[in-house]
Amino acid sequence: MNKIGIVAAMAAVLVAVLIAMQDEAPEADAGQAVVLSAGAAENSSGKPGASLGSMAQAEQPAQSPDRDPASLTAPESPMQEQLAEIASAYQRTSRFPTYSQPLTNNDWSALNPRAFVPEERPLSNAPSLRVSIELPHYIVDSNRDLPVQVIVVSDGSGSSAPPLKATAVQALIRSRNASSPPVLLIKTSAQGNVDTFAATIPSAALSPFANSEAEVAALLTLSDGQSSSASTMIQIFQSTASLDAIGAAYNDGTHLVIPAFFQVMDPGMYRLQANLFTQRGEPVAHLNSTFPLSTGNVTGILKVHGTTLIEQNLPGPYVLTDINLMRMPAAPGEQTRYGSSQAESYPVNGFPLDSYSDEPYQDPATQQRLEFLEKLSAEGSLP
Amino acid sequence: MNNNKLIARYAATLLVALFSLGASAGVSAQLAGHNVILVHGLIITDLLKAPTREEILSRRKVSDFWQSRAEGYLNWSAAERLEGGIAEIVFEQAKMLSAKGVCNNGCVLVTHSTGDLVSRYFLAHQEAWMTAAGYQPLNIVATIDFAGAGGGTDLADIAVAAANSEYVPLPMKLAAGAVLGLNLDITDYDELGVVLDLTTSGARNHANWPNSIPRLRFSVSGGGLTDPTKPLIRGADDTVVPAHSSCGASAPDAIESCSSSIAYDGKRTWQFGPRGLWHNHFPVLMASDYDHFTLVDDQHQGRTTYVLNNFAAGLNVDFGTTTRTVTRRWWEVWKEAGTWQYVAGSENTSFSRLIYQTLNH
Repeated sequence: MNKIGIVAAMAAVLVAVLIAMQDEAPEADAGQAVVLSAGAAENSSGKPGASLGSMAQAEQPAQSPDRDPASLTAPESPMQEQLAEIASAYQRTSRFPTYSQPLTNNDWSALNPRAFVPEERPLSNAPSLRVSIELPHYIVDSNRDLPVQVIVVSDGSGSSAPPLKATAVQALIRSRNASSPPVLLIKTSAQGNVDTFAATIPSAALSPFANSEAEVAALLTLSDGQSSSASTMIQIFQSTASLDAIGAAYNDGTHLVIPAFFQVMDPGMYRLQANLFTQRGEPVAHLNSTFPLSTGNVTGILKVHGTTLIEQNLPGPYVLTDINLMRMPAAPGEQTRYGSSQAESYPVNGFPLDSYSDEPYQDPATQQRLEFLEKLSAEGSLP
Repeated sequence: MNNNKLIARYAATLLVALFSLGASAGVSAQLAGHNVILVHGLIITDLLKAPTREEILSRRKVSDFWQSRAEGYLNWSAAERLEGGIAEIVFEQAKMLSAKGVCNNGCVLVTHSTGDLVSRYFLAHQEAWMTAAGYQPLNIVATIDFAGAGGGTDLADIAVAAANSEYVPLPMKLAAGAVLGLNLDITDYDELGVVLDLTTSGARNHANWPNSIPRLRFSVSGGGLTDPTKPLIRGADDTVVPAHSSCGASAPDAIESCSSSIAYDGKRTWQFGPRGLWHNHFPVLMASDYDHFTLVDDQHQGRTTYVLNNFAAGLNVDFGTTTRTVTRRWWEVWKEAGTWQYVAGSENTSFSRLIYQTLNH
């Protein structure tokens, strides 16, 4: 900004402060008047604009594009209105059983089973470099190779010197007592200031860490000769059961029933979470069933409630994928164990939607919860 | 509603108001007719000295305000793991509550911080475990989650990475260590206790399947701009927990609000909000002047706003509320224009009391 601009701005502020002092805070000094008009007097955060100044409230008719004259008339109990909306949202989800919830593209958690969330952090001895380790899952099968990517972002030195880079990256698995042999990563891309290195850690390196938490560590050699490292935690499991096949689905009148066949290494109560899509890739349902499995009982059942299909008008055929098989802890203190799946996805046949009963799903337990939410939202004497 | 009920309701409200002046004795230990069970957050001193079983069971935490409204507790130690000692001692207390019939008429769990994750894990398993042990599962009608940490926090990610590593920058290490009460120059992950369960990936993989218990989320974004932990947490935060966790967002995005149309301070404006919510998780209120710890106390800090999510896709609900609109003249360079909405009464009532009063009307 040039000098004239600065002077003009200062003059504008001065005029505004004087007006504010006259209108709002005749007894305040100039500094206080500015604070008052910025609204901080009503808000202890000290953040500009975190609340409104009373002068501003009084002086102008509203011109915000958000302004809806109707909304400016405070109803008797607006919070109850919101709670009523929550009650009706809960009523909507309760129309579907928890084992067969409609799936949308926004259900990130359901769509990303065993999700690994990468974290990017600077290196202490080279803060211009930020490193993140990327893995396909947080919960990792010790019998499968583990692809690893290491992303190195350089902030650049800002000087004529060449920016610091990672010249070599190795990855390994380690815990308090053990460490796997390091694997050399290959630089797979270098786009601008982002270098990507990748490799696969063989399952043989994972198996000694089965059924434990362990670190995936990236050991970096930097262009100035320094060494550095980054690490992240994962859970490594030895599979306790394997989904081997999906049988022909059938219609029991209320549900699309999907039989699932397992190889069981460790008997127990199992939970199978999976997603159902149409063959065109439209999300249909998040399925979530529990059943006991043992060497003598190798069949589990996934059920899709007819209402879940009817309301979305999706008769199939379908694809079952995003499989997450878990062995539930039988008692508190026991660890969750994990199973695997032979295939990433399985085809599932469909039936005409009018072949399902249109009887709605009802769960007595949700009724009391709904009544509670409705009671909260009932008109009361408080805000 | 008949007159007697109306009179009773007003009388109850008046009593609450009178006792709010100081003494908490005599306040109903129920919320909308249901007993309240408290599940506290991470107690940092546990990581330095593990409490005894008796010390855990006799704990009275969360805040004086909520203690005076609670009928029971599910306490735990941060020195333990979620799938270890925490599950065991929570189960032990749940059996006692079941034997006493405390939740026969339905209980409301009030959770703070990591109590969110502890509760989610317990609620996901309690039916199988309690039934197998010969107890009636606790009938939980809803949870009220303050600053829920069930989606994990960047601070735990940093703490886990820093333990045993010389390559995590010292300021990050110190800030995470300060909040978690730890010197992160440790050589044994066991010293991190439940912090290992609070990493973003770890927390989000615990018992994350759909549950039919509604979870009402209360999220705040306060804390000083000089707070050393705020820059370490992606998106909005309350100094300990990111918004994606406390709002109940399905994805661990660096969201700035629980709503894409309302800011934490109540301003009606576009926000980077959650693209989806966890099943049956409903953000209710937000505030920008409370932090992770003050939101459970009965001390007024600032105003509170509605989340205003469209819980059903395509349903555009515009709740009427108390609003204020500010316009800016060209020379009013300091002034932020826009429309803000607040919960009526939040100008002088604490976040916790506002919730209790509103829900317990």
